[in-house]
Amino acid sequence: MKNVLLVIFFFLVVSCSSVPTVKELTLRMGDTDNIEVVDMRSVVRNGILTVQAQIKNTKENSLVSYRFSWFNKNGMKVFDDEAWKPLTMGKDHIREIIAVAPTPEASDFKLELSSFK
Amino acid sequence: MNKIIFLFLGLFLTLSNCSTTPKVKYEDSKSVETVTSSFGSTDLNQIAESMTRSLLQTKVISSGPNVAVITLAEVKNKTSEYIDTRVITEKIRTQLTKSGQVKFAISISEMQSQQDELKRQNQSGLYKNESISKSGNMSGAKFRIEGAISSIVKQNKDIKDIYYIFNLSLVNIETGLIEWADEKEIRKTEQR
Repeated sequence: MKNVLLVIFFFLVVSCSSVPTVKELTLRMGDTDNIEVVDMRSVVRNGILTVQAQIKNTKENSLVSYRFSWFNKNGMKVFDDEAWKPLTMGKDHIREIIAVAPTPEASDFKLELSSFK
Repeated sequence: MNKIIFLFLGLFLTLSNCSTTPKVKYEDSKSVETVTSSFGSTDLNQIAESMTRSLLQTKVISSGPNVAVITLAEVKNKTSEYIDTRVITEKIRTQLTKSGQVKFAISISEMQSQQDELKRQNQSGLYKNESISKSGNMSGAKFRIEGAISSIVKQNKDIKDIYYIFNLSLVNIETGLIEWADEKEIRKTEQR
């Protein structure tokens, strides 16, 4: 009986702590399959959400652009769309991209990746 | 007769090719713009965003008991091309104001219209006394934002390389101390 309770408790904890995956936090537009999001982490610094992501180009030279979308605790988008930031990445190049939320209201984010010519 | 018909047909085809109507379409104002290598909307947006976010994270702005009051000073254009630096600072001002973390006092260039409006309300005798915005109640800024944009251009017959560096600093007006400073670098190449 004790073991059954422990298993139920474990599943409850796992189901409650829904930490989003890197895939869930990334929105891809166009052909960006060659861009791999290696790592993504966030921290609140001086009351403002800061995100750091590491991206890697797995194929030939690529032109990629990125931006972040910011959401409040209710999942509503806060602030205007950011400008797309261009990156030129050679084969196997790794880049750290750091973004700071535009307002203390932002508590969640999404990394948007897009290709451009 | 056939010659004349062919001549008219040729003339018609030539004229119809010349009078092609230009195609107009709307583009995303936030998308990457690479029409030429000169300073463009992508550079402007990147600079404004980078500076705003960096400034928002400083303790001077984020941890004070009161909302910081800032004014815009000059951003010098030290590049060889024409750049309206006022657009950059105004974009920074808009984004900072929208963040709710700071307030902006009007800048020197906007002072005349402020004075004119106060004079109109206080000296014209046209307004109800209780609705008048009184003189002598303006808020002074504690900080001013100033900076410069510079560029290095290198060119040979095939490649043009442009490097922009934008510096911005937040100066405490009372003490004269630079409380925050940051820079944004952009490098672009144009191949023929």
